Amino acid sequence: MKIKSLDIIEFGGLKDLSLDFSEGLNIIFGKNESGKSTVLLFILYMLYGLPKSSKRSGASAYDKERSLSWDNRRAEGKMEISCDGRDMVIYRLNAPRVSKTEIYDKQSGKPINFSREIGEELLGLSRESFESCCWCGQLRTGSISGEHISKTLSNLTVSGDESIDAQKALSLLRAARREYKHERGSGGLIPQLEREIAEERAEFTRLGFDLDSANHERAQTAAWEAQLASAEDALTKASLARDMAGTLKILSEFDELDDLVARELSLAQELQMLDATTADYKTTPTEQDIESLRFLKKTHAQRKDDLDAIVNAEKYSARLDENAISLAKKIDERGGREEFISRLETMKNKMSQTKLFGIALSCAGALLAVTAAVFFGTLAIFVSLICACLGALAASAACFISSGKAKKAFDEYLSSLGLAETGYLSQIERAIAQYDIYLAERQRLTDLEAKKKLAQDALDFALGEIEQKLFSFSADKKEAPLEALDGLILELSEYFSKRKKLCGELSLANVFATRKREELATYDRGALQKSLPNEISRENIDVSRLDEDYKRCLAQRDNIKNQLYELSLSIERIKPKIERRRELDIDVDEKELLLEKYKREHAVLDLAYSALEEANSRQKSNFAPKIRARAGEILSSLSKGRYSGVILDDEFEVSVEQHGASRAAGALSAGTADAVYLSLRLALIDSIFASDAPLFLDESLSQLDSERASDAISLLSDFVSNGNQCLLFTCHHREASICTQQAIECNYVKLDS
Amino acid sequence: MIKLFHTGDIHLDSAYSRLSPAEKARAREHERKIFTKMIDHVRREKYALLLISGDLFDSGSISPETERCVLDAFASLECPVVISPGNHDSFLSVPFYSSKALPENVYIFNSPEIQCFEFTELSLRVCGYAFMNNSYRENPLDSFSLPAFSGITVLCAHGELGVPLSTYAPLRESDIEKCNITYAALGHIHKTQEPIRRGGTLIAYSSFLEGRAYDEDGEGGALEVTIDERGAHTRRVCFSEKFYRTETLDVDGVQSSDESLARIKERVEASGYGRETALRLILRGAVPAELVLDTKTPELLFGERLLAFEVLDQTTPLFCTDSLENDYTLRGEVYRTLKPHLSSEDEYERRLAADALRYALLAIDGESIGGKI
Repeated sequence: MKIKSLDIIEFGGLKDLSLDFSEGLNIIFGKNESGKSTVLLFILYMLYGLPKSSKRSGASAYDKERSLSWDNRRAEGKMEISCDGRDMVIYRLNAPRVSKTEIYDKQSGKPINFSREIGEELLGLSRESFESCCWCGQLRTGSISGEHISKTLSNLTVSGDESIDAQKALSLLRAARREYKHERGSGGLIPQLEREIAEERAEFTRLGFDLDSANHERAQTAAWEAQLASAEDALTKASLARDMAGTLKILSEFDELDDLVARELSLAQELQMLDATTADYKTTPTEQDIESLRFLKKTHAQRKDDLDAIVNAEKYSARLDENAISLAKKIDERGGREEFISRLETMKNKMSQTKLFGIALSCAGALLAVTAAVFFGTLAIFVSLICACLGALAASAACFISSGKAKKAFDEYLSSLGLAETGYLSQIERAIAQYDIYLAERQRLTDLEAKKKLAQDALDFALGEIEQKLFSFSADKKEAPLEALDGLILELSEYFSKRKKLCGELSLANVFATRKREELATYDRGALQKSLPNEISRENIDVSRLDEDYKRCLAQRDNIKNQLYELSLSIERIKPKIERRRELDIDVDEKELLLEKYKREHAVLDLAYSALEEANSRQKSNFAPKIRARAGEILSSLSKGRYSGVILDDEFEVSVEQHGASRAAGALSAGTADAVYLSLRLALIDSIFASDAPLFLDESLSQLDSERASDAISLLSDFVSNGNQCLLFTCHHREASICTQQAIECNYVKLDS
Repeated sequence: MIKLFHTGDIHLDSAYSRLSPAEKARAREHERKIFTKMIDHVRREKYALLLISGDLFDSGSISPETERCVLDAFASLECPVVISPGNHDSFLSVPFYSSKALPENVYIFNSPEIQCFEFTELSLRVCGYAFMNNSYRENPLDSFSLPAFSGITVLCAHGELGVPLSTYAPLRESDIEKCNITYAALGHIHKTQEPIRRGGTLIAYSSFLEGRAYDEDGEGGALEVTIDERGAHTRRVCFSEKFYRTETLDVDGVQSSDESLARIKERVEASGYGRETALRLILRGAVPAELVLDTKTPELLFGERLLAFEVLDQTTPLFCTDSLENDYTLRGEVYRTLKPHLSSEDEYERRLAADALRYALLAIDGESIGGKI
């Protein structure tokens, strides 16, 4: 491709500037700030448009700023080129809200359609490649460090672009990769995040036990709450029951009244049934009837007893001693009882008088003895005693004889009575007693006989009365009147007992019912009933029991509440842990997403790094040797053999070969470095382009001495002689002079400042 | 004909772990507002039954405000409310479910085994089960047959359909069908999807009530279920006041961030979205390899007019790769090295290689790598 002319309408600081170029060497002269670099930028604009803001942001922004006109921010111009024998015109316009690019055939005026940027289409190079290859700008080797020079040359040699530092790029990727994960050790975001996730997972698992515990306690809570519900229910009922006790009490009294009325009715029916049992009586029985019957029974029994006593008394009399009766009869025959007593008394008196006379004689003898003793002494005592004894003895004998006679007479009398051979006084006493008994018995029997009759009459009368009474109740009770009487008495007793009881109960029921009615007269039972809640049990009307129930329910409820409170405290204690677990869960999820992102980033960086490393390695092995060889040739020519080659060592440091030795590029003079740089640039164009790519030099020879500048011009002359176009921008006249001196054909273009 | 209302996955008192306490409180209050709005609708429309197919709460930790709100809401309904506790609000983890303060019209399954609540006045029974903790590995309907019932049988359950190894009650469509269930009200899957008809059974997920993040895309809502002699039919009712939407924007061929910004602006303005919408815009397509799209500027520019705005760059650096292909420098060599990966059949590998190319080119340009992709 050859640039034939430029028509700058408006671009940067330039306006309405037209420049024509030859197809060979063009030297564009201009003083500082005359617009040389702007012209170069215009050519770039024509081929590639305005720089994209994304690319090398700083430089591109700067270039873009330089491209737009200062007053109205426009860029507009034309460039005529020749490519493969075809002349074409490129037109571009960039203004606010306007962007226009045209390329057309100069001869036909027909537009030419390119799918890519014009530069890419024509040169097969991207803007960057074009710049790095064909562009040799200002200040490449000016006042910059040797290290930078070395690096620039190294970049140019290895990557083909002086701005591309492969080592730096690899280092950047390594650093970025290390941010995520260090090659060695456990540093980096990924291991850190993995550690955090592992720790949080462990904590999450640990807290799982607390969750289980909380779940268990919640289950317990649920169970207790179910119990609480029924306890509350019971408490409500108990409370209501207690509160409604008054109503319940009244209602229960109504119930009691019902019971009493029912009782009254029942008792009345019972009484009626009882009275029905006496229906077959001929007379209506009264309680006096029972007394009367009992009296009759008693009277009859007494009469019977009386009669029996009389009969028994008669029986007793029959057992009297026959001897006594015989004796009694004999006593009666011999003067009777008075005579017998008289005789007995007489006999007793006589016997008593005899005894008394004997005693008197004894006492007289004793008195005589004592008197004699007093008057006559001991002998006298003796004599007296004998006299006394004798006197007593005489007296006794006299008495015995006297009493014996009386006794004999009485014994004879007794004998006549038949009592002689049986004892003495006892016999007499017994006989007298027997006789008295006999007399009494005889009189008693006589009385008994009379009484027996009377008793029998009375008994018969009593029985008659009984029969009459029985008849008055029932005619069928004559066979065994006494049994019937007993039966009737029992029957009537039971009847009246039951009746009395029933009547008493009925009366009581009636009294209670009446009283209850009076008490409840002011209440409306129905209204009270309606006022009660349905759930109130009418059974619980015992206020004290209701109160106890209420207290029991309250205690039960409070106990459950306490349990629930304890559980709630426990759950509350666990709550922060559960909350923490939930946060951990979310956090782990988020971190896992982040980890996934980091891992992907790391994988991307890994791939980028390995691709760059591989590409770099390939560049070094394929591209660098070719550039280095060709550059060596050019440099040798340029330096007239002083430097025989360009060397790239293992560290990618560029050095030059001089007499078999190497000199590091960084240690070269500025001029030599520029020569090396120019060599590499030309080598690059040689190696890359089969076609005729133009070369742009912006003050590239200014650092060279005259001799080397002359050699460089010769080299450029050779370069254009191969069909390439070269545009050399300079602020010196030296390059033009060298061309004139060496008769090198060149197109000299002067830019006015 | 009977009309039921099916909701679920409401997640009241969500964690919102990335929000500040004040923002969290506001977000939870908003959740309660939407829930109450839904309850008002149920009351107004006089549905015969409200079915909540799990995850009513996000966890067992329920704030007193939420508890009060839910209790009042249920108490305000005349119809029965049937709740099937899910993996987020399992029966044992939520004391609220055992509370005696619950109104009488609330029926909660409390066993992992199938239970049924019969509503004779509706000639309908609702069968279901409860998650007792945060997972349920068995299929509750496996080898299970419901006892005979003359009325309509509805299943209200939380579970995952057609994922045999799921730890969230793996259910099978065939099991539901064989139980002669007229309508299966399911919960767990948040993504809004069409009901599945299987024989005489209609199986439907209620979806989320209102989106809380970009994974709950769209309007969400709940289902009005009409059961008549023809079977069950659903109609989606939306209560959302804010919407999370994820959309893709083709920026294929853009040459600069300015161009992509212009396209983003065009999309946002054309969408008509306002402060009710949180938009996640995924940029797709091929862009030049050297172009790293600026996603922060559009977020700042349009974030104000939306509830939230997020731009994700998922472009590939493969637009007009001819220049790279022909690039003799290290840049071209890297591209050529990655080319086999870039043209891999594996999508993941392709994306990985595309990002690797971007990184490598950034590194070659001497730019720092961190946070560029």
